[in-house]
Amino acid sequence: MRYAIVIFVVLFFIACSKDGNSNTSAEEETKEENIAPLEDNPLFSQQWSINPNASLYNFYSGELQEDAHINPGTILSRYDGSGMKIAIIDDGFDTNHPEFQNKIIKTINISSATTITQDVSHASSTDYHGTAVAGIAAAANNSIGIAGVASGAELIFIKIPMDSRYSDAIGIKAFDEAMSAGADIICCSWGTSDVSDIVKNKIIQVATQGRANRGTLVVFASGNSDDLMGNDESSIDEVLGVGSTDSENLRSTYSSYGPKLSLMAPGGETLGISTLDPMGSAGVSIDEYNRYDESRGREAVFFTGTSASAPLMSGVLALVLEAKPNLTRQELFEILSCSTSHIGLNVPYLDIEEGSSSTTPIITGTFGTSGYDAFKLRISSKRANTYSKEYNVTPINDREWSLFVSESLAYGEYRIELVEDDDSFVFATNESFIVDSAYRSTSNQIKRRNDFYGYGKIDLSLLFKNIF
Amino acid sequence: MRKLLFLFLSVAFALHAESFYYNNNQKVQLTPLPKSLVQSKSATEGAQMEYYTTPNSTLVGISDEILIQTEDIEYVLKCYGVELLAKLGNNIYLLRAKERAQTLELANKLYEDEKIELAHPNFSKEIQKR
Repeated sequence: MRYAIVIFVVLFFIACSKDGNSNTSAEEETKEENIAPLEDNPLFSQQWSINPNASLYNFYSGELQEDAHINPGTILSRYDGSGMKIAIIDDGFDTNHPEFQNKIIKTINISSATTITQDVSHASSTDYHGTAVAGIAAAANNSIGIAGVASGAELIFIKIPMDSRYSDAIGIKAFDEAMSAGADIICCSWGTSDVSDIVKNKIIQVATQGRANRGTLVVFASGNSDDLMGNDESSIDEVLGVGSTDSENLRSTYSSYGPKLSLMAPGGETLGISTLDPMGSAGVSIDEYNRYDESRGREAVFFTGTSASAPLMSGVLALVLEAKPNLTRQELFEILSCSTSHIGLNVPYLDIEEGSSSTTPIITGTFGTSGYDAFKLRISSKRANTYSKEYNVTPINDREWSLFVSESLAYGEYRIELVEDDDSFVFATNESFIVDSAYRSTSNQIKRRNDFYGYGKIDLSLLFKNIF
Repeated sequence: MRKLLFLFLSVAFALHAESFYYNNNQKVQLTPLPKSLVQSKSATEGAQMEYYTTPNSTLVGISDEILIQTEDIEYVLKCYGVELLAKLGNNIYLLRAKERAQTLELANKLYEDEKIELAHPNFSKEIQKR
């Protein structure tokens, strides 16, 4: 009987471990802080997206929210993506950049089927896109410039034409090259907004069969058009579509969104992201895009867009795979969905039903993040003190909610405010609806800045807690 | 004059109605665009293309190249008289139609063939840096 109890207890503990590698997990969880201090990279002090102690937090206190970063904790001093290969499909690669020294394991120009030489003219500030993207993901931790999120990861540069010379065949070849080069992660800071069937199938094939059938992690920027992502590469289920957050820890106003958005990562807005630009012959940045200088204007000196969010996320994935190389894409996507923090308030998407002959409106909407934060909706007449009432919002599921206003409202204009369940915060939407012979809202679909369909902003510490 | 206009409109409508391709099991209408409105291509590349816009307002260029996904490329080469340009990974092939004017119609015929999983023109597209 005693043996039976011992066996039962042992089996119980095995069953409760999250994977079959509980022994290795214990080792990895206590991994020492053995990465050279990222603070030794002089521009790390500007990297507010991954550095909670960045000097810009003091300089822009109030504007730069203290939680605008990805909550790295001690992860970046314990993991640097060593052993992981990140393929960057882009153009404008500065292959001689000192931040990429000894990191590039393969380059290929898909159009010419040749290797890439130093692929930036230095004559234009617009031709360094791939360099900037790669820097965010994996710039070396070498006491110069910035540090990439995964500063120990290796890079594969795959050049495609970033203009109308791009074709479906080029896209397919690019993904084929990335897969055959053994990429663990493929970072794409671009899109077509109209992905063709066979390209889509190729991307799915790589995302399911790459990494010895564990699935290569394909990351796409969601786009900068402040619109639904639509039939975009970033909308493919097997792809991680990444939107952008800004210094106020809200959705960047340009960041595209939609039900297929996976999550968000800082891409900046008025305050952008420090990364790499082309280097001159003397090893000095030609345009000094990284050097913070208020007199030059912030928007001019930083890199901004979902193009910055995708490589940040790619770097994060390299850290995860370093710690847990056997995770499948599907397992990782599930973990990611519960490894995010809400940005700003969890402001819902309001949609006031129009055209009803009744004077009891139905207000429906979607939650800003997966799951939901309980909240109340306060409806008050714009005519002072004539009507104000709070309604508990009823979730339909983890994405949608509805509110049926049970009592008849007098004709007039009404203000809507969102109230957190514990009354700790009131978020005035500055939106209203009008009750007249037919309901009308001033804006039928009230789209807020911090309103999006995705899960939320990636939280690195929470992610590592969840993978062990 | 009125008859002539009617005839012109009918022909234009008929041509327009034929311009579609298959994507995600649905017909996607393509609206022809005069080359004079397309300036982003080089002269050489532009001369080899017909331009259209998709319902999403995406500008696409169609040359004589077709992409197909099939497990029986020999059947395709034998029955459709196309030239094999390249194999692009498992079961994906880049083909060339005999005439550029046939590309869209041929791609649709290939798509409708049960022995072929997918087919569409090798679209050129304006990629967006983000």
